[in-house]
Amino acid sequence: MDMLTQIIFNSLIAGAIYALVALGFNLIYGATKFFNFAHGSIAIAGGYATFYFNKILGVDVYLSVLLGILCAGFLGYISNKLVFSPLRKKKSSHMIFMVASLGILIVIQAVISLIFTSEFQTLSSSLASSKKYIFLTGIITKTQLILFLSVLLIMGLLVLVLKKTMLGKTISAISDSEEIARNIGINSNRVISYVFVIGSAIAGVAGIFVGFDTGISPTMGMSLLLKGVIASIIGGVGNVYGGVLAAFMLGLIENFGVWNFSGEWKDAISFAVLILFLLFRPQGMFGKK
Amino acid sequence: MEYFIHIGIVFFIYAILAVSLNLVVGYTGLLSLAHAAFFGIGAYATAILLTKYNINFFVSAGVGMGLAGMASLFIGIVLSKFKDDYYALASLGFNVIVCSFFINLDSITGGVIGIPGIKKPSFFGLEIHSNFAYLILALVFFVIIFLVSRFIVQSSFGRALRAIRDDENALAVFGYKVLNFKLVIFVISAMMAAIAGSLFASYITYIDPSIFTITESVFILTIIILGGLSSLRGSLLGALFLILLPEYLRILGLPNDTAAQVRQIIYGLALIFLMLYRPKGLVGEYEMK
Amino acid sequence: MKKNTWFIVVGIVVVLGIVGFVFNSKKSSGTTKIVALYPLTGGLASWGESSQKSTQLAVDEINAKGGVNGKRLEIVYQDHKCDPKEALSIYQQSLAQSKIFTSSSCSGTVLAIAPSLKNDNSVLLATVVASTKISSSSPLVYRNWVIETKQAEIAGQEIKSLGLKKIGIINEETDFGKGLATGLQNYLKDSGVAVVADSFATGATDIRTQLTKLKAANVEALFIAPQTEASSEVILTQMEELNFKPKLLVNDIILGAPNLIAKHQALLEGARGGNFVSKSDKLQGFLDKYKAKYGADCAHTTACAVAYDTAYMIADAIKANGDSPQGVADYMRSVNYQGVSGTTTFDQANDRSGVGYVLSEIKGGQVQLVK
Repeated sequence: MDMLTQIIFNSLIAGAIYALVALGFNLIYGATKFFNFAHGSIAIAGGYATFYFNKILGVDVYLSVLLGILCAGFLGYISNKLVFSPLRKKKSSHMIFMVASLGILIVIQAVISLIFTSEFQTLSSSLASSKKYIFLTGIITKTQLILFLSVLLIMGLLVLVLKKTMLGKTISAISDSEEIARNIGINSNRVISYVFVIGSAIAGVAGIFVGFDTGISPTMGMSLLLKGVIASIIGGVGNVYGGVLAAFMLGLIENFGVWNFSGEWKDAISFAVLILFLLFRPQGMFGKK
Repeated sequence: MEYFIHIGIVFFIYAILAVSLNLVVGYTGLLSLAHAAFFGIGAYATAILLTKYNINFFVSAGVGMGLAGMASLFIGIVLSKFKDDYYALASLGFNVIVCSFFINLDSITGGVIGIPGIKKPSFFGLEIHSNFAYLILALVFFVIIFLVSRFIVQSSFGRALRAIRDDENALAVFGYKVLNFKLVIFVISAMMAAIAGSLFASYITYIDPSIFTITESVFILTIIILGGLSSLRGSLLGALFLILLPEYLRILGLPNDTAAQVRQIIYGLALIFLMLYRPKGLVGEYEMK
Repeated sequence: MKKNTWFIVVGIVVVLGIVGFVFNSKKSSGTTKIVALYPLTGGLASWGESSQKSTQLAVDEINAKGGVNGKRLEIVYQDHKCDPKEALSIYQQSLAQSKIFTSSSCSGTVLAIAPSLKNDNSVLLATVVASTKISSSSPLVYRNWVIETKQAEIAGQEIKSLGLKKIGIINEETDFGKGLATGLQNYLKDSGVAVVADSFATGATDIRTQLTKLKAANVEALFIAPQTEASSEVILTQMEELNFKPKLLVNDIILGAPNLIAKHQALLEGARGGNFVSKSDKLQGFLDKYKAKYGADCAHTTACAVAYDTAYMIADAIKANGDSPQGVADYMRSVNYQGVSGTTTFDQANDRSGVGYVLSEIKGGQVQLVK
């Protein structure tokens, strides 16, 4: 029984990563209403950018993290500018957006593999050397603690931006209805561009933490994204708090699933939960009907 | 010469997969990402019955079709509750779950170790040994499936499907049982994919779960989007192009690490550019909505 | 009819391109070609790369001494990506160039090719494949690697001799990892040793809960069966993170990875496992040459040594029996080769015999034989 705390910690760490992916995904989905598959690979690209600056160029860790986040944001900007914005001008369907984003996912993955090979990389030199804390009977590393706190911080900031700033209000207006927003004079293209930058930057944070915590490989983007998407659907698409809470819940479900069955059922469990939710509570845990 | 025969067999198998998926995605407008699951069910059924129970290829292919039909009926009923991107996501989830079964039902499927030594089909005790004979077999299956598909598409049933795709509600108003139409085509398509699986298993003689992942589903989707939705001939062109692409790249003699990634980049860019400039695909007639 | 024309034209152009090329690639007379199918991309790329570099080292040496029967030896490296379908494609495409094949890693690729060998009169020397399924898969497949069950048995014997009552197993969900895990479980079936087993998917980076589970079970020893160095890294790092330090039994992936051992020296100290290539002056001589040529240590000692030996054995076979595939196969049947990886002979099932897995221990960051 003394492992219970540890399992909960494991779940929270996994959940924190999913939460970061879900936060960015939610934001972009809210404004554009399509499933952006590229989101996961942008997260991983952020991790690799940090890896490049820190491990290859020898830039200071904190600066590298910042550069990694900027790179992810920039990729978000570029993907919107070159692909999604023109598609929006043509009034393409959401399915077309989705397939195009699948294309971006594949391209980013392949480009990362070309530059960094398809092998697995870790950002920290050795995690074992990172400081460990013991709470109750569970162990948590310093990296993981920072990760956990970052999620709360980013969530807080995001809520603040959405609720208190002009930008946040225009984003909400576009999320409610892009047409009305445009009619009342909001430059929706510019706002959506911001949304892509912010959402992708948050995804970048997720990728960087994965790199520090366990390690990244170019093809991880898809599964990372899917977990984030599952979390945001369970939490109710567009609901910031709901997404984060659901991400932690997904972490718990997965890890208790592994605890009770075996490691190989992990992904199947998450998708089974997703399908059950879609069937019986499509609006999510906290969504309104 | 053997090489062309090999390419021919692989082409026919993927042509079957593409044509059958096009019935669902192109003609009915349901973006399914679960096709590899049915492909896998057919392959596994054939492999198990042929190797463990020594049952005739055609019988085991039939059993594979039956199993894929049942699985697709269940999955189809669940999926019928969803629309557009949720449909795509849930179907992808089902692919992951089916794949998990392939991995975890060790005693039946051999788990990750897979099933080696799958036999070639035999007619009245006469085993198909040469690849040329196998090519003929694959061709026969392909022609049958192509003709059946064309018949479906040109029948009043096919017209109803396209009507569902274009305006589901209108059709429901006229008293059509839209759900039944969707289910029937989904099941037919899955059974066709199962045939491709049977051919694949006994041709390659070895299968394992890694062949039937979502990556494969995305690949088949790429074929039909490239060729063109709602165009059976388009699917053939797409399959031809994407099956030959890796062969071309190998011939070009790029460094191996580069070649694999260049191929991925071409897939990805193809998707992006098609969505931007020709969402109907090379010879398609329908644009996703 | 514009669309029809379009369709046919594109189809014909695409097909003709490939036909033209394949008929262009004719055999050249001054060289003897061998096709090597290695995983050069994907998760096992580092194994393929080790094999490729070692093979090339051998071939360069052979050619420097005048080649084989007056001809230069040339290896055509192809990337099978660990994908059976891809391997079969490459195999069929390469038949026009050579009928002598060698491969590394991924039993699926060997199993996909094996049934065709007889028809095409070609031969395959497979390396880095431990699966029992390959035994007797074809009389024309020679497997220069010792099968996995023997490795599992070594671990099992060690468990029995230590008198352990409860052990854990964690394996990667691949045919090799799973094969080792079930091999060990079968070996321990009636021995009264309790086994707690769990696994993780290839590419999974968070296996803390599986490890927590094993830790909670209070296992006396843990058998680790990863498929790659990357997943070994994940297991070891997260064990350190969780302060999980049982007695370790490891597989030859970890034993053959010096970088990994250096990085996790504390945790791996005293870990034991089976390895079939043991230290010798010959081996060290080869490893030194490798380092001198490529500027880095070989990442997978066993794979390097075996690939190097295999290249020499093929050259010897061609010297003795000419470059016919049948000649190579005949030669292998009765070969007794003393190479850097030890003695190579093939048994009834065409599996490597002559060497067996011997128990090794990691001591002070070095892999040493247990006496």
